[in-house]
Amino acid sequence: MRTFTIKLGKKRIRFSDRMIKEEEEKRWWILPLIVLTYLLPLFVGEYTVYLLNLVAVAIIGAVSLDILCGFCGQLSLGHAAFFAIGAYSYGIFHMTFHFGYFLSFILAGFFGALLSLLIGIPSLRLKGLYLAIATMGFTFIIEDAIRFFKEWTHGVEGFRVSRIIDLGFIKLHSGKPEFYYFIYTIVILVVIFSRFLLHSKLGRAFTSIRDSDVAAEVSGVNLLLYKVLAFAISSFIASIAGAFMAVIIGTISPEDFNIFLSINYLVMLVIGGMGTVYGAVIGAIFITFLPEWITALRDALLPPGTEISVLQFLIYGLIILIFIVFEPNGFYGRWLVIKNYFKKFPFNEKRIGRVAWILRWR
Amino acid sequence: MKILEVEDLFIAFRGLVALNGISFSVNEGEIFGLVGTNGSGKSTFFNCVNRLYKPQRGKIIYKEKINLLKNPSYKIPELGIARTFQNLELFHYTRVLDNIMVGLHPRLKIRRFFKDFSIKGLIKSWNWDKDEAFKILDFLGITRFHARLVSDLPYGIQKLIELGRALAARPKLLLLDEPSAGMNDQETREIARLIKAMREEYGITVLLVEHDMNLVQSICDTLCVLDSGNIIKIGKPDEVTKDPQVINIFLGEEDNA
Ligand SMILES: Nc1ncnc2c1ncn2[C@@H]1O[C@H](COP(=O)(O)OP(=O)(O)O)[C@@H](O)[C@H]1O
Ligand SMILES: [Mg+2]
Repeated sequence: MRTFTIKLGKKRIRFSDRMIKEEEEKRWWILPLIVLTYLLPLFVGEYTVYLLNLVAVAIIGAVSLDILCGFCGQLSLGHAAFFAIGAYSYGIFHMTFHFGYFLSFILAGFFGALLSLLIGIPSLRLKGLYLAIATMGFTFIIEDAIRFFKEWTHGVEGFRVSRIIDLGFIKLHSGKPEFYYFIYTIVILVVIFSRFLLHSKLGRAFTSIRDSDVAAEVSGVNLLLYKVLAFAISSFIASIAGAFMAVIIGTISPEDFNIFLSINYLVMLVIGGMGTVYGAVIGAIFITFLPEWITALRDALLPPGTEISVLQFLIYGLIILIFIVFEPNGFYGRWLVIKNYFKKFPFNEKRIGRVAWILRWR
Repeated sequence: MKILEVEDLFIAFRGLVALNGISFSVNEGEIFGLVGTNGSGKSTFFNCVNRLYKPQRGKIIYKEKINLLKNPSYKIPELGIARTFQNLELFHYTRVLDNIMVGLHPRLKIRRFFKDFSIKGLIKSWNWDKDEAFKILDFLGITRFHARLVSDLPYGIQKLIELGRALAARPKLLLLDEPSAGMNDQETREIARLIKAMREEYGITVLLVEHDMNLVQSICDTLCVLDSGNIIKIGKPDEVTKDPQVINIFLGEEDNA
């Protein structure tokens, strides 16, 4: 152990390295935030609660994509496929085979994890954009498979899934506010799980693969095993999100799970910030509410009844562009920069260093 | 005991012979220096040990019984061999502490978590990885950087972090690829001190690739000179540096430089 000294006026203070306290992540804000989450439906209307339920699905989905893309650096356009697998297998297990609610959810998750091996194993060879294209193909295949197996999935007619979840002591209808408490409990569990995952042996193996796979390998990380695990965990959670999506919308059809859904989730990550979980949450909230805000904007600015789909895509595209050019680390990255600025406040260097965890797609 | 025995190791890249059937052995507990001009195949040898390259011929025997070439590369650290790279291979988008903790990967077993299953034991094992990483940082004297991003730190410190990641695996054999490259005199002396301290504190055998002849002479027990994939001379540092052939090679290099 080494020591070093600091002069303070005439005094000399000797430090040893051990005396430097570990900089702990501050977590005091988590509990108030959870309380706020549970109190929110008391203050907003029923429609907003419905929207918030959709936000919950988006959060679960975005966090699951964050585990794959943000932690492990595997660019995937196949998340819509996992959503579809989750939604349809929940529907089939629950509606067709009359399995219990809980069992159907878990089975849907495992089914998604199992099918993720199909792209998890080739991912050892496929990197960056090539993996993205392969996973995109997976999305198309699943979408077509749903159309093909009509007897099971009812194809384009749509598959009706019960909007009720029976917890035994209470029946939750997904349109009603009570459902909110249930799904946000799941959201909180998923977010906490992912944060723990990030700081565990598993999460560190994932991030090491993202940053340098050679260094990861010589540090003892089995690339194939951990890439497959990242795919499995991610698609397990994504399938659960898909199952919830089915319960919330009530009728699912193959168009609900097209490539735009995958892209939408990637956009959430880019806008929120990757690899931190919190970024994914922020991005999910932002992107899900965006159409509502755009509608509100139209009502304020344009004559009533104007067709807005053009405007919507325009604003959507603009926002993505602005983020990619000016803040590739997303909202959360910007927040960290601001926070660091004030932490060092009187001693700022002239230029604030950009927080550097933009991913390199390799 | 011989910790590493290399027998007739041969590797060529499309006709370019990088290692031409070399054989030598490293005793346990020594600091073994591997020197040679640029492109003489030193890093290639490390990559063979790590199974990043696949030699066409030969054997690398570890601890007198394990043939490394029969193990996948992620198993190598588990066996007790860690390394650093000539050009840093760090995880640039995570904190220093996380970088070190990746090195703990082969030692983190679920078994350890459940070994002494009590609240106290659980809390202890909960922070086990952090404590262990801080021990390494303390040893290297870079604890004050633990919460910084690697990419924000100067090159010398980054080199130490990479060394720390290798040390975290508690290796029996440590492969260092030019640890003093790009460092100033003071940092080079610090590295030399650390390498010696490492052997004392952790009982590590060090295989050192180096350009700085002064450093090599001052800390190595045995020197091995490589030239275009062939071994020129193995022996005690002062013997080797007196060898006319060796002098020739290194003088030639200085002339070029
Ligand atoms: N992956 C590779 N592909 C082709 N040639 C290589 C490769 N790695 C090393 N070589 C060649 O092998 C020779 C030895 O390189 P290296 O081991 O890096 O030298 P050094 O002793 O400077 O570390 C060089 O001529 C280099 O060009
Ligand atoms: Mg080299």
